Amino acid sequence: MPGLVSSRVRILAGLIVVPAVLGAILLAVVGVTDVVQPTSLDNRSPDGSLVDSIMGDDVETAYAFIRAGQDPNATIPVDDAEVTGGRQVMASPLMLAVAKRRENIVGMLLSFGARADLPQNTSALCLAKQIHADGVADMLTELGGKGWDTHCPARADASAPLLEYVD
Amino acid sequence: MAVVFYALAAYFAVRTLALQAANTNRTRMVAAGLLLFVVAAGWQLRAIGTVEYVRTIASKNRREWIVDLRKERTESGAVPHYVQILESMAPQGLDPSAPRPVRYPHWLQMWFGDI
Repeated sequence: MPGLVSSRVRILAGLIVVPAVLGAILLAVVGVTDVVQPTSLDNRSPDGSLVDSIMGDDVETAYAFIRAGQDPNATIPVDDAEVTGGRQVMASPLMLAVAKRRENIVGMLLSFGARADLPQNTSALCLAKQIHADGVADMLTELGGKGWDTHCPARADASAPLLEYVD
Repeated sequence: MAVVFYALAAYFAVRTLALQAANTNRTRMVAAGLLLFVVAAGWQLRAIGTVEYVRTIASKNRREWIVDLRKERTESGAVPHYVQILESMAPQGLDPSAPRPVRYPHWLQMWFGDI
């Protein structure tokens, strides 16, 4: 009987140990992966483009581009059915973020160098008001200073709002 | 600190349960075995979920630093001492080595609950 009892105890111990070991292995793999391949996107060159990250509302990747040295005020080629009607235009990241209602990315751009007084950005508040992006408009008003253009165009293309404000 | 004593108490409790179950009939032993397995698996899930929760919080905190830095600077502009503390903490808050949530399979994430 002692042999039977000890074998039963081993079975019961195994039922406890198996999930414990599997969990420990999983945590160890995660820890080793962190060391070998850091999980942060910012530690390596971000994939895609700043335009893609703004379109996808991926604020961390968008920040990675700015952190990597991309000028937050430099115009970038934008081609989007929703905001440019499929035409390719040059727009600033801030104007694109406003047109796409990306509130977090607007906050990030304002935090890291986007300036209201530059010609490529100065219409951002008008654009936000035109598309009724109230949260974005409030943020621009609150954080952007007094550089925004307040003389907004009377008529705008509702189907491609960004076109009204870029060359 | 209490965790050590909690672990010791849990060890002796589970050990006693296992020894008693080993000395009973087969049905009770199987039931006890299943119970111990479920408890052990649940405990591990909790441990993994705790780590994942901390990683998620770290990621959210960093996102807030990225998005709200200008807002914090603007709103606290009248308190120079606060701004000084904010600026000294910014590099740490924006540190790209901050952990991110692990991309576990969806079915596994569901077991972690709302984190």
